Amino acid sequence: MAVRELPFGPELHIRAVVADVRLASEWLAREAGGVPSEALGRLELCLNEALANVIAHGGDSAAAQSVALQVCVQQDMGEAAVSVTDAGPAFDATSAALKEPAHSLADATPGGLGLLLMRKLSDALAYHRADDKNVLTITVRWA
Amino acid sequence: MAIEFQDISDTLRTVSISGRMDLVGTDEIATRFAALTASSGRRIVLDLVGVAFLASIGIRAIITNAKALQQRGGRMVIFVGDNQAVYKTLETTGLDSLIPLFSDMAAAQLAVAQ
Repeated sequence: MAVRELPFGPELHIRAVVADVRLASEWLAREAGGVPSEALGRLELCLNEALANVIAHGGDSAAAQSVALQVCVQQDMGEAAVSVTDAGPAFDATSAALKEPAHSLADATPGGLGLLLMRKLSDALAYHRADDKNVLTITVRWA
Repeated sequence: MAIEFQDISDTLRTVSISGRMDLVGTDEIATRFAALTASSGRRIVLDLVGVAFLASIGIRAIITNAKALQQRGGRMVIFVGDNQAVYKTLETTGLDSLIPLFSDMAAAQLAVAQ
């Protein structure tokens, strides 16, 4: 499938550490100020979950380099996208297996909810590997 | 990030969380959240009305504490009021089928006390 080139604008580099995730949220709020709050909320949540995955599973290779974030807001199309580029091991959040939902609290095990949130709350999720890096693009749309 | 509680009776307690339940915020309240929900047989209404942002790490903490409470013979329900963003996140993860959600505090207290 062809990857549509988005006119990405502002970029932010952060470390793959917990303390920097809020910098990403603040940056997104600044750069995507005109996006309706419902859509912006979904985009921010998906971005947080993507970064949490990089921090938890990216290992030494992700920690050794900065994580690059880019945002693209297309008001006329009612669409906003954020791309997350990290140097961790190959991980495709668009196709990784989702956990079976628990049917009771006693059966519930922690974990796996971030992937579920990203898949369900984004309107498009695209992944490719480029230059030994993961590039995940999260898109939300509004009417 | 703030977490507060109020004992309505010997067995019924409300625990209110406000702020951002992201990686940093959830870690900040983790110890107190576990301690406030740990009593045997206690009924807890978890008030999330003041939560401005809820990430999966926050939901994990809620599941862990609700499960521990249930194993001690207690119960937890969640009060979301009119917080649509938190409601949608909880519903998307299917948490509403594990822990009952209420938009009305009186109904939440009645249900958890039964």
